[in-house]
Amino acid sequence: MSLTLFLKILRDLRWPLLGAAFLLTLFEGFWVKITDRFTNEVIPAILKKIPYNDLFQILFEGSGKLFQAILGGESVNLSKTSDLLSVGYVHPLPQTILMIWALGRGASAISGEIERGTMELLVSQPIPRWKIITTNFMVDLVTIPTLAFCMLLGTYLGTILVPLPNIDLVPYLRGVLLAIAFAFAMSGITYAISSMGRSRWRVLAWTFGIILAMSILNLLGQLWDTLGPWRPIAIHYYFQPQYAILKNQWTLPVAGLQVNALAVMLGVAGLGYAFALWRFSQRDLPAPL
Amino acid sequence: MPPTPLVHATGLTKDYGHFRALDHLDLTIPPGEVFGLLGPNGSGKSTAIRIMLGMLRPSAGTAQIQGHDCWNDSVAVRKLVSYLPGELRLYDNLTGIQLLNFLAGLRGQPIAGDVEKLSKRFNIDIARPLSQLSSGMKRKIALMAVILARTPLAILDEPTNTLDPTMRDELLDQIREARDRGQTILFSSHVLHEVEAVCHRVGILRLGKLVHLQSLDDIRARRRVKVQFQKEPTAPLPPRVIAERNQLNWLLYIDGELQPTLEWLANNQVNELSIEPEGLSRIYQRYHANDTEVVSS
Repeated sequence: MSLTLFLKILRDLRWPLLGAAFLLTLFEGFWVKITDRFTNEVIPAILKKIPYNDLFQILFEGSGKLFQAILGGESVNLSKTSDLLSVGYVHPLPQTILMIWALGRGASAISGEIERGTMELLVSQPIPRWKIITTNFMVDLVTIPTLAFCMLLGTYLGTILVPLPNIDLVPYLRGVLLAIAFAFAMSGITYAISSMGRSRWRVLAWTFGIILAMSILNLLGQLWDTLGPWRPIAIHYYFQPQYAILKNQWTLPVAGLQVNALAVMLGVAGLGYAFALWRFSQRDLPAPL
Repeated sequence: MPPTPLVHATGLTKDYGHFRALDHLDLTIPPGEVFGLLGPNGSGKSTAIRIMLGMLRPSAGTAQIQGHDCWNDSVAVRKLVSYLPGELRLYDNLTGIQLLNFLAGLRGQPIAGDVEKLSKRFNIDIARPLSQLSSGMKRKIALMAVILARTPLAILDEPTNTLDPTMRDELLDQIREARDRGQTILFSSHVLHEVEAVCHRVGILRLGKLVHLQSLDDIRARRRVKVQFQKEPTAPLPPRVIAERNQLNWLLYIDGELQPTLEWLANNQVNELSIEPEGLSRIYQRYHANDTEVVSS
């Protein structure tokens, strides 16, 4: 790792990092308020008139299934505080923030530098190419967990402002771990593609297309059973923090086997970074566009 | 015994698919020499430079700097080289001094020399953000980084691009000072009089091939004879004379003594005759501005 480059990248990222961290903290803080209002006011009021199973059917039947899938709430009991609070970790908004961060970083780190022409300045200095990748990896090792822990920070601050009964935040650390692995997996995919490209926007388009396709496959696999067996192709399938938070369950079924979700996501991340390291060290670096 | 070359390229070739950007370049540059690499856009200058910096892997041949292979041992090479790119792109979110410190940090050595003194000489405020500087000012900052690195070899790709005339003169002075310190300079340019002013030797590239290699001293001694004959000469040309023929109008390029050529001319019927120093510009034009038949004795 090059300390000089590491500090410069962190300096460049300080404002986007603060912005993303603030948004994640704010969202999870608000989600505590939403959880409190639903579990203590809205749901009890509804349950006075209809039983929970009927409510569940009304909400999640037919087109409501899509809503259930997006919330990742296959096994979530909306009347339970801990269950609804865990939805805050699988909600599309924090997922999107993490995705934008991971894709933006991966695309900027290699193809973005080549496109801007600053990679030429970097690689004309006596720094090995592999150090450029490992330094960027070290930056990700700082920034991605920082962002993920901001989710827990938001939940913690939210529960101070809006105390929830019988809530233990320690299990939510498992959700943070999965969020870190999920962001690293997307980052690894982006680095791999970025190491082959010379246009940041083209890399972003390709990576976003691949991740969007995986997301849609995972979503459709929850709606239609015939597509269910294909869900493990999508990285989103392995990001189900409710299981880890609520049941301390880390494995998911893949082709009849129980596979550790954390290991799969970190494996994808590792392969992505390793490919980027190899490809970037071997490739020609063309003149800036 | 000739000095061990600092730059040594043998059969250096680069292909992009079916397109050959550099074609079997053989080049040696001894330590302390200022070498000018000339050629229009697309002639292979930047490709050769990028191979030497380890940015491109050669398709064939090798390039070495102080015995280090430019691809396999590129970090060792880049410790010996500082580089000013032709298409300059800097980190615009940094100030001049932050960029200089950043680049020195990547080299793992503090900035050598007197930054303040150099910035005054270049008439530039290094505390200003690069985003607020003109392209010429940015080039001055990048030049400062090259000068301050004090590496054995400095590669300057079109260094005077976007510089004002005063700064161009200052840059040429800096190159002379670097030369006097014993630094080797590889200088690529379109501006021939600048090359003539500072270089010891020049190489001219055309379509990826090195078509001309000569010392500036030889170029200064070289004569161009413009002659119109009454009828086609029959006697063979004297040694070390190259002729470009357009029917009865000939251009003769003479290396060395004029006497044998004058004697040869005296044996032919001549209508008009003029003799002048050839200069780098005319040599360059021979390769890049006309398609007349070129023959040599």
